[in-house]
Amino acid sequence: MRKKSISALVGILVVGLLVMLGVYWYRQSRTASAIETTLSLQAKPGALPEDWYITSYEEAYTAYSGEDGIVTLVSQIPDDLRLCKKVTLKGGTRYVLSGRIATEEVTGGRGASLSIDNYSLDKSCVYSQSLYGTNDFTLEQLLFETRPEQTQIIIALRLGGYSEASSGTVRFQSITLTEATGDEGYFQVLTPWGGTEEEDEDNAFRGEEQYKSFFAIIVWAAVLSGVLLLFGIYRNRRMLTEKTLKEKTCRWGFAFVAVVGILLRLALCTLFRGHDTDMNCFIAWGQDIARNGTANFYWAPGREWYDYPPGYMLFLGGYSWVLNLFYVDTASVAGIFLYMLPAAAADVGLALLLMRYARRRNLNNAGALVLGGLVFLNPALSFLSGAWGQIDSILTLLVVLSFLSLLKGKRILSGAVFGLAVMIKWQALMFGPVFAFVHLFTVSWKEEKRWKDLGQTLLAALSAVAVMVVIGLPFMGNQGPFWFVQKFLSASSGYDYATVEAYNYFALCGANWRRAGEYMINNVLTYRQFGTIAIALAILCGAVILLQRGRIQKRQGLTLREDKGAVFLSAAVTMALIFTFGHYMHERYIVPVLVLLLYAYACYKDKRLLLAALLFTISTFLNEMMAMYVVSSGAIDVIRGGREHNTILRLCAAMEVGECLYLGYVVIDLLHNLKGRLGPVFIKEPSKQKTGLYAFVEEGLQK
Amino acid sequence: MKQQTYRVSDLFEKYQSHRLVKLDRILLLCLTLVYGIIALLNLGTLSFPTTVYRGEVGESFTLDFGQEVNLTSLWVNGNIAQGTLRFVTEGEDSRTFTQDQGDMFKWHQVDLGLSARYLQVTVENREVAINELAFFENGTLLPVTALEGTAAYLVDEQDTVPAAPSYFNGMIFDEIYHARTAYENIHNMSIYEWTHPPRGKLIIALGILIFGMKPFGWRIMGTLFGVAMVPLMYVFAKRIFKRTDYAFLTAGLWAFDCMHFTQTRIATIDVYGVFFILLMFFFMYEYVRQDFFSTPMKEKLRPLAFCGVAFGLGCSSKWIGCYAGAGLAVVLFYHLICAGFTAYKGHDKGAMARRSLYRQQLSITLLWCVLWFVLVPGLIYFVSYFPYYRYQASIQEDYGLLDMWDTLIKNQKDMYNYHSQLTATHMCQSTWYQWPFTFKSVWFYVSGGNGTISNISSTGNPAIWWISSVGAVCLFLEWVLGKVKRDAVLPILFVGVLANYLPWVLVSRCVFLYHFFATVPFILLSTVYLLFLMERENRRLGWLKWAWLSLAVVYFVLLYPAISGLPTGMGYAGFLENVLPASYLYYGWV
Repeated sequence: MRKKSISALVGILVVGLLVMLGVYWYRQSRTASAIETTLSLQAKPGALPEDWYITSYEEAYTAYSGEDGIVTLVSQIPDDLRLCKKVTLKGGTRYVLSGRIATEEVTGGRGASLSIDNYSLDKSCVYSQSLYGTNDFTLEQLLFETRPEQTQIIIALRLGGYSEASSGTVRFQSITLTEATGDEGYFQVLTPWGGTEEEDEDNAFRGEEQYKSFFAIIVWAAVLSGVLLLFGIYRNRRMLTEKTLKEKTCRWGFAFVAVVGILLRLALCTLFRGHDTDMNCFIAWGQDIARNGTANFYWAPGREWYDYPPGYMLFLGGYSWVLNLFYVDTASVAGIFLYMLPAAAADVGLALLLMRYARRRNLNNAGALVLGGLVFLNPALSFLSGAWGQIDSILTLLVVLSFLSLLKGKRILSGAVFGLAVMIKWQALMFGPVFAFVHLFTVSWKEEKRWKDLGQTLLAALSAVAVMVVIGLPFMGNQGPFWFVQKFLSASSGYDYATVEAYNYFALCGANWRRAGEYMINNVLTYRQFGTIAIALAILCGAVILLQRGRIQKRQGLTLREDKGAVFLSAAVTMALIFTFGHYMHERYIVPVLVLLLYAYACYKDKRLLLAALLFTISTFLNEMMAMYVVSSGAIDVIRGGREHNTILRLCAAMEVGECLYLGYVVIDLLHNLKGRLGPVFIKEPSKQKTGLYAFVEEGLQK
Repeated sequence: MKQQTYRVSDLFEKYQSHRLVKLDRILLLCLTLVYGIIALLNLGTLSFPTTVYRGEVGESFTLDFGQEVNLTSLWVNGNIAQGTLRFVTEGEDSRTFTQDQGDMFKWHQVDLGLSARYLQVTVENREVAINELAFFENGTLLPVTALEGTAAYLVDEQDTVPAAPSYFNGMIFDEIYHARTAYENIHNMSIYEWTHPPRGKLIIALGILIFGMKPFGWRIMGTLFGVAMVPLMYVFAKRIFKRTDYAFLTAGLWAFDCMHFTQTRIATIDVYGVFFILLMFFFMYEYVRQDFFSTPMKEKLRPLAFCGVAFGLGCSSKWIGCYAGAGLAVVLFYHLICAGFTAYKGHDKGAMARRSLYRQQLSITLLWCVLWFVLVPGLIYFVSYFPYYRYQASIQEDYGLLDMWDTLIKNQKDMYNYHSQLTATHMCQSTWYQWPFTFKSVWFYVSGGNGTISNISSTGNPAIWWISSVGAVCLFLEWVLGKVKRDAVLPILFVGVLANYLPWVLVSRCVFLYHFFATVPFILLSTVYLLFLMERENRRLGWLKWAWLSLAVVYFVLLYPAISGLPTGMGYAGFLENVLPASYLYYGWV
């Protein structure tokens, strides 16, 4: 069974890869035939590339190209400096102009951008998003649509803009112009400037409305996923508890789930192309390590903000090196998807692991399949690994693995895996206390095993540290072997906000993007203080849950090690509480909770835990979509803090806090049988005599 | 042995009937009365100037105030005209007032700042038509008389001047198109609003004929249609569910929907379109719920005739009736085809009889449909253009039947071109996928001052729209998963939603939340149906319906100030706008 499922998995991945490659080649062949795609910037060093020319306000600029197809524009004084090329294309068509831009000390005005500067031809002009300051090469795109009569455009690689002069140094590379497939995003139309005021107002209004109406699509996505998850599962609840499938059906069922999951992620990737910042960072970092090695990765000037731990960087470097062997175009959908694949693989891993675990905990195979589907087709997880490109599933997988190996008695291994998890994402440390408690509480205090267990616990801690140090070594540069401690400290305070688009209790209080040091209650309590207290209490709750379960188990003559659910329950509750009431939270930090609750459900088979997991899924999905839309959208000023944003934020935050409280209730009930004690108070016995109302209604209803 | 218990909720299960029983009549009457009172409360004033002064360019008259007074401001209650008036004092000090389309049938305020006993008023430009003028000295109404005869109409109804202009005593939003045109229809004037068929305006005109050209008069018919929707929903639901509690639930939810309330209290024509759509789907359900073979032909065809009439009335009120009509055709043919499958199943003797019966009934039904869905609606539509014919006949000699036809066709083309080529944007516009979750209301009216605000926004009751939207999707999911038993009402519900909603996906012009109005009854019925199915499966869920109804009523009460124009404190308005999850009610005004 195990071998077969692994080979099935490999098969699915191969099929997925083939499909992707097919799509990639198809796209390549299509775009190649559409129009000239790559606008070569190659030239003799010092000269300008052929057919390109400079336009500027001022004379005091420098413009030159290097051997590697990079053109550099420098202006020390504010200027509208343009490297232009005239191109013939089709009217009434959508195009994507993309290129990689690096900047150095760009300030003022419009900044560095890609632009279509048709002002001299027909008074129209559009820009891509602006870049300021100092940035490494990042991919920029300009989506534009020609008017039916427009067949000529002037491409401008630009520093500054009309009446918006800028200064600094800009480098451009790999400029391509492709006909759009239509789904890339919002296309700016090349309409002439200086239309009537009314037209301009109309257009601005339309643009704004379009951005705002997108919130409705986000809400729809959340509602539909909610309907499918809650209502769909509720109406098919027999699957979970009673139904047994044939093994073959079950395997095919999972294959189906896997294929749909991969296609879903591929579709999401095509639609969203990853989170603007995160995805570009991953790709740029991976490529950087693949080319320049690890030693200077964190220490080169201007990289103080590189805040990811080295574990995933190491992986990214190796992965990028392998991808580069195949000349993967990192700007294409296929390229981006390949960078999302590790997280998707972690999703599959989580699903398979959960299914196997559920079967071990005596869940029927249909139920296990549903759980697997709930992981791999989970909207929150799919969106994160398919649309966004974040790696929280990898973290979750490692945390679950370390818990599982600990429960199996492989204490040292679990320590090492936990160390790895921390090196993948710092957030793993939030599971540290629960992890430590479980280690301590599972020490057998019987005479003969005591020292062995204690020794192993110590070794586990050492192995965790050892893994961290070993992974950190290649990046050490001329720092000490514990350099990452400093990195962690600076990363942990990097986003010094009460909440960063995490729709939790603080967001409900209106503290989204508020500084953590601000007062929550005037002159009494800051957000950071409240958060710190809450986190301490959350950790305490985790410990209490473990202790309480341990006590109950002891009465039944069992140990905590045998009550495997308590670990997941405690971890889930701790993390949910930290996310809901702690500070510094980002929207994604709640993701492990969804999975951990499903594990807890597999152990206790209490359907309320499943309900909690599903509810958390819906709010997390909504939260993720909102966070990504607000950041990715060009109209961030229009939408962030606007009515729609605020309303959805508050509703979602209220939902999240409610879910956390519900989870608290369920857990207390599991520990203390609250329902059994309180139930009789709320259930009213039906009347044993005909009341006046009853008689009246009965008389009224008789014909 | 278990002792017998008496639960009221069990009674509804026990006594099922698709007819109205005594309790139904009591509940229906109470509900309609309660809603009727709420709907008529503060609807509009009956104290409104009705006599009109019309003046051509060059006409002049003098107003006498009896003594020298300070004329700080002037309120003009306009009629239909465009032109300029000049006011000149004895001291040759003068001011002008230009009458425009938006000023009609409401108290329009103009700052004067003149001092005089006699005021010489001249029509300086084009023509003016004014119901009443009211002059104020620092907020006090001044007595005034006109020295020339015809101008007396300007100052003869000073007792109708209100304390302050508001929605209560003037036209708001699109009333300046629809109520105005109703007035034109009565007085055989050139027709201003031609972008919708005329039936709706004719119904508004009926109200004006009874109560006069007053806010109450032009709003009352819509309100009465809104009240009539409540029993209609009750009966519809009773037919579907055969249970009193569910009928009451449906009608109650519909009565307390905010859009149903607001949209029927303004003199626009959507209410008529929606009412007739509801009516035609009701009669279509009456038709399809009867068995094709066992019901006597006469009995079976009757609802179809009513349905066709409702279709004709709906189309001639607003074109949304045509979309709904296309949906009806789908339901009808689906029903006929299903009956065909039944007829052609099996080979025994009974089957042969069924087949010949089917062929015979099918041909009669189809002919009947041609009569009631083509000829009669066509005639109704043609006749509804009566005001156009009458006006044309008054300005064109030898206006005959063929000319009527030309008038009709020309208007159809104009309407189509108008709607398909409209590119204007509107502050209140929204997109179809924003509607179910009431992202943006349609802002009819606002006025404020002294810390209070009076506001009318047309929006859905979130407790009804949001839940119904989700519920309709759930029912669809149930149906896809094959968990719903076949029922004649299902096609009615699904087609009702799709036929009224999908067209707006394709429409290119700017659209508004109230275009979803016609879809709401069907998503509401779908959700109640889902609840009904779930309760039938698990009787412990019975409390859900009462919780839902209570939530809806609470929401209605909370939103009442924002949807009715009731002046309220700014603090409360801020709560509605910024805290309570609802629609965009005040457009950021609070």
